[in-house]
Amino acid sequence: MKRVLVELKNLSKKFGKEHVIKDLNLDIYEGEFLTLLGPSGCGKTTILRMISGLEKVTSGKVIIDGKDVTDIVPAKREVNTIFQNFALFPHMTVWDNIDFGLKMHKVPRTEADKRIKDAINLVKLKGFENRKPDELSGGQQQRVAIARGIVLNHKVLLLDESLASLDLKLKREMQIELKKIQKQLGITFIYVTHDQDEALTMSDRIAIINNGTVEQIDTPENIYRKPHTKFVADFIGEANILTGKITKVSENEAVVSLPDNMDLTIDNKNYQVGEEKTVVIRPECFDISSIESLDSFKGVVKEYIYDGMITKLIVQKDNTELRINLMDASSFKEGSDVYLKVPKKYIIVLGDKNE
Amino acid sequence: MNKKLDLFKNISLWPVVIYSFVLILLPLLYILFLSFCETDYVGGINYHFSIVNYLTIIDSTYLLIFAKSALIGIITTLICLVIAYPFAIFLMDKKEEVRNALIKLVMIPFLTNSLIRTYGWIVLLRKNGIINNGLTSLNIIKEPLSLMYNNIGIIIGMVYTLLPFMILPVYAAVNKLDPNLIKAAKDLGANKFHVFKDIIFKETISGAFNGSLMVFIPAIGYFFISDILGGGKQMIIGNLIKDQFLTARNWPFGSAISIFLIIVTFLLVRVYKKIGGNIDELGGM
Repeated sequence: MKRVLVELKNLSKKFGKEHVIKDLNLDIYEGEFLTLLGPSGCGKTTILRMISGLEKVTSGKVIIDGKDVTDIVPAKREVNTIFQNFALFPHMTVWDNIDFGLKMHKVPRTEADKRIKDAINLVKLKGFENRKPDELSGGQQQRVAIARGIVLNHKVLLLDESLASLDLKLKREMQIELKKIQKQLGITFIYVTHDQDEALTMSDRIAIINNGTVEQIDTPENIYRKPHTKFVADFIGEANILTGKITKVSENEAVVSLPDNMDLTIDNKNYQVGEEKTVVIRPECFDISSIESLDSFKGVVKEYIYDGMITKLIVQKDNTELRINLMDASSFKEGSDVYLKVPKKYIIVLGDKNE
Repeated sequence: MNKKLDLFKNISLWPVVIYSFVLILLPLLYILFLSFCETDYVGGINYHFSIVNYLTIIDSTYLLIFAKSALIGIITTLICLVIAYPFAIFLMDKKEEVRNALIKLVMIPFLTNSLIRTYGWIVLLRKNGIINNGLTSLNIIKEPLSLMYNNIGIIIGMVYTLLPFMILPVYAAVNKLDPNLIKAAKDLGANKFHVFKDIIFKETISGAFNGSLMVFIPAIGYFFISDILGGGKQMIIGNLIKDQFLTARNWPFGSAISIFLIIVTFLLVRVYKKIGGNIDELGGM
């Protein structure tokens, strides 16, 4: 069993009358890359600031490495933050920026010099030691910020939308590199972002935050494949979300009847006939054909959108629009009839317990 | 470019050019010229080249006055710095309305003539003034303090008059500071003292220097404060220059001291540049 390093217990935060974080509980393991993902204004940055101590806690507890740090100032907490705009000290060189924390912690000179050198090598900034931040590119500034954050050998690094200001290509590179650095150091990264690509690429676990609470916390794959709530299904990736009723139940299978005569066969998990169910179907999970087959239902291609790697189809089934993504959609033109099927292993039924 | 607009630009610039030329550059050149002339000791000027005025400056009596002026200037500047920074830092995390209101309060004294305001201090500082009477009646002191007609009086007057000139540039610099820098410093283990010394002060050093220049230069020149609160017997460079022009009627020597003061100012800016300051941040001096 992994050891819990950061523990948030019944954490609440109010700004005036606004209840930003509501009774939040979260365990973060040693050495994991955890992402707090949510729409802007969901409170994810506030959670991060309460861990670092830069924001006071209204009620509840923050426990780091077994120690209650709720009332301890940021300087005394064994965590470091990488800010969205990096917050490098403009009047200091790269070396002095990285050295700042070591000086504040009175680390002996020879030891400090060695640690700075190691950090600079790790983030590949050799030769830039004497530059000032404004003489560096965005990516290089990011690296300085990482080096400054890890040089104190604290067990937790907090990253506040740290890649948001980089351009797309650089962002992709830094995502992979950040993950590499995290693995190499074996420390806990808590990363805040509203960018789901980033979250899926880098994280060991993702906590989806909505309205100040954790909607779901799981591995990226489970978050995508087994969302627990409508919000999670909708927020991560594209999804067709449909609500219908269970109309038939047999020993192993059940049929859920969705609006517009779409009947889908699903695994029976103690469903009752008449029970209302919401199902989620990812756009890439459809079997699509121009020939009718058993159990398939008919739709009409309404829109055909070429998007490089995939082609997006919007298929009209009576009053319902279905989003379908295909690798090769050359045989389906706008206006043509198509027959759809969904393999039951790809149908996500929300509200299922014991997943 | 539109020709009419060009014409308008040229015409609209002329008043400023004429103003600067007639009222700033010409008088300065005249002062420079006078400083190389000689006095005839009865209020007139002998127009032949001489550096005797500059040699007189090195005289020990005058050097002493310079040294004392500089000391008063430095003490005034330091006190202003010590007051301005906590004020600017206090304003940092306040709401904009609060900040604007308090900065307006700092500027309100500008609406009254500084000479009158300086006279106002006599009521507060004299032997049986409000401060002394207050303190004696509360039995905090037995004998009234000598708060004016001495260096203390001058410094109190200088600090009071010049403080806004320190607060405004310091506040402007501190206000521009990225709050994340302070958070980052705290996050990296800095206590309040280090946050101030290593981050806030170093990042706003241009504001501090700007304010210091705007306080120091007038502080060695504001003769009326020295006249009123120093009782006229406490000489600073400002009094010296004024006396040369009005009392001793030795214009060439007065001019030489003025030129000397200008040179000192430029040297101070050079020093600032040398220690790595950004000249643009001083408003392109």
